[in-house]
Amino acid sequence: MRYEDGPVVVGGLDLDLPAGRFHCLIGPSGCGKSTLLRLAAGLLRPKEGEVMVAGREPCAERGRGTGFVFQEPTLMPWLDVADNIALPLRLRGVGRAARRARAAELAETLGIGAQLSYYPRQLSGGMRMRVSLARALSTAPSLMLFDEPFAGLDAIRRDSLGAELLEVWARQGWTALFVTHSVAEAVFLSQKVHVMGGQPGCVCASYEVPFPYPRAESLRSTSAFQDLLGRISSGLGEVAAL
Amino acid sequence: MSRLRSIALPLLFGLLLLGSWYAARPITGFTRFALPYPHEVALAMRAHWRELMPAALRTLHTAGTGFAGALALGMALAVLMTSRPTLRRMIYPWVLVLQMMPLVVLIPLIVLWMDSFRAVLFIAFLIAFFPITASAVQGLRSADPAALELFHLHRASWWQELRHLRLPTALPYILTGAQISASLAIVGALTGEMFAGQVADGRGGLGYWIILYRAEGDTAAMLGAGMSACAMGFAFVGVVQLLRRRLLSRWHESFSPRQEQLRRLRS
Repeated sequence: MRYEDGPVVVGGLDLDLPAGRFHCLIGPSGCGKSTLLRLAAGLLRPKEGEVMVAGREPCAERGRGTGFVFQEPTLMPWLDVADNIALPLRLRGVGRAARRARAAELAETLGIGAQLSYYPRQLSGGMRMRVSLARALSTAPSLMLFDEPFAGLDAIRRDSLGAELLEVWARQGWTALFVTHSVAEAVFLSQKVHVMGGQPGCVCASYEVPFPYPRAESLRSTSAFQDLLGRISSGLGEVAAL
Repeated sequence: MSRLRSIALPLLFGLLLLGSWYAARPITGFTRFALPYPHEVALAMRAHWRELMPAALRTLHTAGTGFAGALALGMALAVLMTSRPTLRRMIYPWVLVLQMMPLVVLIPLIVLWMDSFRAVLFIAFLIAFFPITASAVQGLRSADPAALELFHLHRASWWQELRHLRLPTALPYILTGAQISASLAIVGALTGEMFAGQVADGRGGLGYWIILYRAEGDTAAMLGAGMSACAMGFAFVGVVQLLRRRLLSRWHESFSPRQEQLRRLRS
């Protein structure tokens, strides 16, 4: 994969993501993580090779069953919370009453039920990200793509929002591909951590995360968790040195 | 308190300006003809009330119609130019050329081309057209790239992207351009009237009377006509300002309560 005239961004990459599982993608800046997500979302077309989501080309199937959570909340400042959440439904021509009902339901799920009529400028950073998550979930996707969504939040909000995201995932069962810079976040959230690196980017190593769900906050302080964290961190260090 | 201050402060400064106007004539030694006193202007306005009032309304009407046309066509052209980069590259330089062309060259020609009401309308349109078009082009191109990706991901049509993303993003830009255009439209109409003269039914706008008073050497009445134009401009820009508040106050950063808090903190 390359941008016109640019260097090859992602090459020789072979990644298989079984459905219904939570995958994390980790790697140094500029290794092509975001490019990979955009390929999966159908926002970019691969120059060589193929991307298949549930056996179909994402470029043609764009948006049907894919939710995308951007690094920034990317809310429309002129829409209130309910309209922001239901924006993808509006673009599909879903009626107002059905949109309102779905927005209220998702806002409840993500703990922003009381803020439905607020405008983005009235919300904290964490709440904006909750709205962004709710919006990505509005179309009931089977694949959710996350582009470092919690990078801008403080550590406490980040951990609690991650735990809540896992609860939603456990109930709804979509496949998750979650890009992050934080090894701890990757290990806490996912069943498998893929380490990307190099120029052009490739998946250098994959680690199984054996801890069962639901995962409690106390998991973070167990020695097994810390062990895995250390192994992945050193793996990441080798990749970054390449 | 703040309401009282917002009326009292400009009034106080206005009195100061009025005082310096009174002081200017003895200091400079100008005659009544070169610099009439404010009360002389006020008296002239009262004396010419019967012609100034309908003339001012006429100017406002022509300027308003020209402005509305500029708003509609400017936005349509901006949408067209931003829909394809090729179109923008092709058309935009010529919009600039039109803007650079001195109006004093165009106006005498325009007056030859059409009847005086239409000529004045067209001149007001021409002068109001550029700020709206330029700001709309800038605004329509300023959509957040991530938001554009979101719309693309959900297979939004060109129209949906325009209606739900590009136009709302452009709205603050367009309203700023519209405010400039609103005041320019009055100037444009006035200038047009100075060249076009009397309209068909025997009445003219403020520009027509300005020429007449000037020929009569009645500078006080001329200034009075200018004051009337100011009042019309204020009314016009005020309407646009109200519209801006109505459309943006709930969400735009320029109306954020945090700005007010910071201002209070600093004082």
